[in-house]
Amino acid sequence: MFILSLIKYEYRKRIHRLNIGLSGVLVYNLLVLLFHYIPASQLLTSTFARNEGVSLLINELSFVYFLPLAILAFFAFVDIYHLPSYAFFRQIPHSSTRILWAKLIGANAEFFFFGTLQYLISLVFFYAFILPQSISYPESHALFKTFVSSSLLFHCLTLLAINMINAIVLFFYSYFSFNNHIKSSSKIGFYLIHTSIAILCLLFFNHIFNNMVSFISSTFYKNYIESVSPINAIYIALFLIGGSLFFSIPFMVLVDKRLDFI
Amino acid sequence: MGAIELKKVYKKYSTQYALTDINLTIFPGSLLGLLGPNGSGKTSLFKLLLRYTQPSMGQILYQRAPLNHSSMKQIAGFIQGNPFPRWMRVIDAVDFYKDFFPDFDLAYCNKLLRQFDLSPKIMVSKLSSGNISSLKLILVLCRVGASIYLLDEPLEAMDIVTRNMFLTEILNAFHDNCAMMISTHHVEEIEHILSDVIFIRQGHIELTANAEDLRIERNMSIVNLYWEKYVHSKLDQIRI
Repeated sequence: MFILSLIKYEYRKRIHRLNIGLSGVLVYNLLVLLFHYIPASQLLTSTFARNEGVSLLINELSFVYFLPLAILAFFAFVDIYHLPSYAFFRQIPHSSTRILWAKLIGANAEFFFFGTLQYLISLVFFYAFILPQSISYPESHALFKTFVSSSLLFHCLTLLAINMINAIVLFFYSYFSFNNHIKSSSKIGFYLIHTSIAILCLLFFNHIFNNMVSFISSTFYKNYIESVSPINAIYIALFLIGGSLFFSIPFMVLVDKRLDFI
Repeated sequence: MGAIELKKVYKKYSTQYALTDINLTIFPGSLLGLLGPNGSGKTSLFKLLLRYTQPSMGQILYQRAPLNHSSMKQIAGFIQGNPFPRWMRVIDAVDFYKDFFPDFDLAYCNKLLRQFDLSPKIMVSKLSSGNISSLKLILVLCRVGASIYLLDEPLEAMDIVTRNMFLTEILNAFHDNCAMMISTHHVEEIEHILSDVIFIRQGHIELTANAEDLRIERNMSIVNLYWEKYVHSKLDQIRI
């Protein structure tokens, strides 16, 4: 019951900043349209002629899907790491774990909303610019058609995968932020450790991103389309949800007891 | 038995202690004034009691049990500054209190909002500092069933008329079964309502006493004592 009340305030907060997210998505896609699709559409046929459909798909996915999704994930999840935003809610007679749950639900809902909006926009771009141009090149056309037809499942799994990446970052964040020894150490040491973690996280993200790209660029995507049955997709989804919960546990356990919020 | 007990409480931020060896018991029926200069540890003490921070050492007990989120059913308060999230309107803040605190008196709240000209539709971030103080105080005072009120600089940035009106409301809210702790730099304005005073300096409690006993013993008002303890000693330091 109380978690619903908390979610209500989480919803109000995120609705309040909806215009920022919507304007961001709009401006980004407008820039992509003006500076990428319109000038590049003339060159697409030569790309298809060189039989470079796969690399084109990766390039387009990076531009209109992965990159904006990463930015939107940051936009949605950053609030969880902003400890003063918990402070106002500390006065209520409920544990901060519930506040965290509400924040996680709110962040995921917002990420789902904006992520799916971006996914739909990317589909529109694919339908408007790429598919019509690829008709004369059957192999590339088939690749893009297959991508579009199976992309909803791919999108759902990507959202869950990004959620799990957030949970992994939360795991490391909780370990270092709640460590009393580090809190009492000098400021320089404190910031050095945090900067190192941030660099490691960046490398980690970069590694995952590179892996995803290389998976797609090799045979992953074809394999994925051919092998991922709904049952397999459910297994992958369960793995990602379980992993997210597992990595969130330390933060959930420690958030009520070990933190300074202001 | 005290409502709140602090036993050998220390609070350390980074390398500096904000509070050292705090032993304090707040009894029901007492209206405490927490007095001290800037940086003396008043807000740090409020932060601990309102669970914004955790003690580095020591124990805080509420009705003999360690202070936890359940204790907040009976504890109402705020710290200085603007604690409200940026997206909140006045009505959202009121809803928030109504949703989470069964002891919140909505009718009384609406009456006070009208009395102090606070429009429910306005964004809290657009309010002046004085109006933010008013809103904080209204919300906390409308928790009519609370047994502990912790008011950190409740009269911050208010004009003299509003301060006087709120002092009346604070006295109305106070009753024998509750305890109230107020920190303020307007010592002269709250002196007459205080039953007890705590003098704090550099994170350490220097003196805890009954206000009336202290006046008789030192033959001076609390505000004069405050001047003697903090202002004169500071002036002496400057002269040296």
